[in-house]
Amino acid sequence: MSGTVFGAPTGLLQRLRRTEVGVTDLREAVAGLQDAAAGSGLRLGIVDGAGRGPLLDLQEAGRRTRVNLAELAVEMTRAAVPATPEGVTAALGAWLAHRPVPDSVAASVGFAVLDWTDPRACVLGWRVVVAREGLLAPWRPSREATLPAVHRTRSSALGRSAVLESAVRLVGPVALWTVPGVQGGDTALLVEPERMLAEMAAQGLRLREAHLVVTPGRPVACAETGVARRLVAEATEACATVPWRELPDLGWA
Amino acid sequence: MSIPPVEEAAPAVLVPHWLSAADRTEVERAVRTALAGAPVHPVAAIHLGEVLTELHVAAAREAVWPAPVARVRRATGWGEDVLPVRLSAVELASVLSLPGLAPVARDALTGGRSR
Repeated sequence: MSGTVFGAPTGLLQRLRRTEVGVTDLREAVAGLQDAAAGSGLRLGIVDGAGRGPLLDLQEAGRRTRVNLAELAVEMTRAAVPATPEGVTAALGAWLAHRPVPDSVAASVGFAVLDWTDPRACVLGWRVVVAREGLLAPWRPSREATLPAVHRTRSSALGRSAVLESAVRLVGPVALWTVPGVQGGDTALLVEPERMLAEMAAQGLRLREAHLVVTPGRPVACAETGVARRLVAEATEACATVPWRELPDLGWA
Repeated sequence: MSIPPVEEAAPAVLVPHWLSAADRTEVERAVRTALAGAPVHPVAAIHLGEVLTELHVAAAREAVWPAPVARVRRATGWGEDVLPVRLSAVELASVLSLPGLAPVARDALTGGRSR
């Protein structure tokens, strides 16, 4: 990942010539984004509480998030966001794309992809995500979500992943799988591995002891043991090699 | 007590050789010609087969993780078709021992960008 929660990283010159983002800049940016956000069902507001600093209030489909505006300004300054109206608006827009996903949105449009379950990127697990402005926003159940509701959301997310259109490209002994319709959602096709095996066999690639090389957000590579080992040797990015038979054992992130 | 798995021998170190599309085509052609021609020693044939696999795997790596190689290309100014082809010492030796390998690919594997 090269970007941050505030969008693409700034250039070296901007990082050297640091400017301070103030609460006033943020207020203006919030006012400018209110209409566009309302179009996607997100209500933006600023709450001036007594005794506390002003809070940025996000409301979307029953989920409410409040963030201290002064703290957000400090974080933007640290991330070297240029303190111009355009710079702060762009950074706020990128930050809003990372807002929590409401339960009802996850239940109606969420689909399942594989993601890391731990910060050290060792263990893979399924995660319900929602496509939002070119990125996949992860769903974490709110405190109000009941266990049956969580199960229902997860199960319908698996169902949506199963019907996504996938594409395979054979590079010698390696099959590269993608989901062309969803950027970064390539691992969604692993909910139906039988379909993959059948498609590869139809294209003439019959694998003994197939292994999957899974990198969350990137195409999925499928190959035999030795080839898969060769593929991940010296890999610098976090990836996992999953034997085919262990695929059904993956849990939820 | 469990028996250690047989296949867990220490894997050979794979060294990247930065080859352009033309270099890779030439290596593939030379290896395929050698395998199709006069009988090759079975061990050499295995290594040459691994070289063919690596040529494909190098392209697959580019599709899955393009960013690190793109950074190297930006820093060095190499063309978009230059890829790291990772070969072990015996695999490299088996390719270099092919008499039919064109000098351009031989140079790319022994000097040039790979130094």
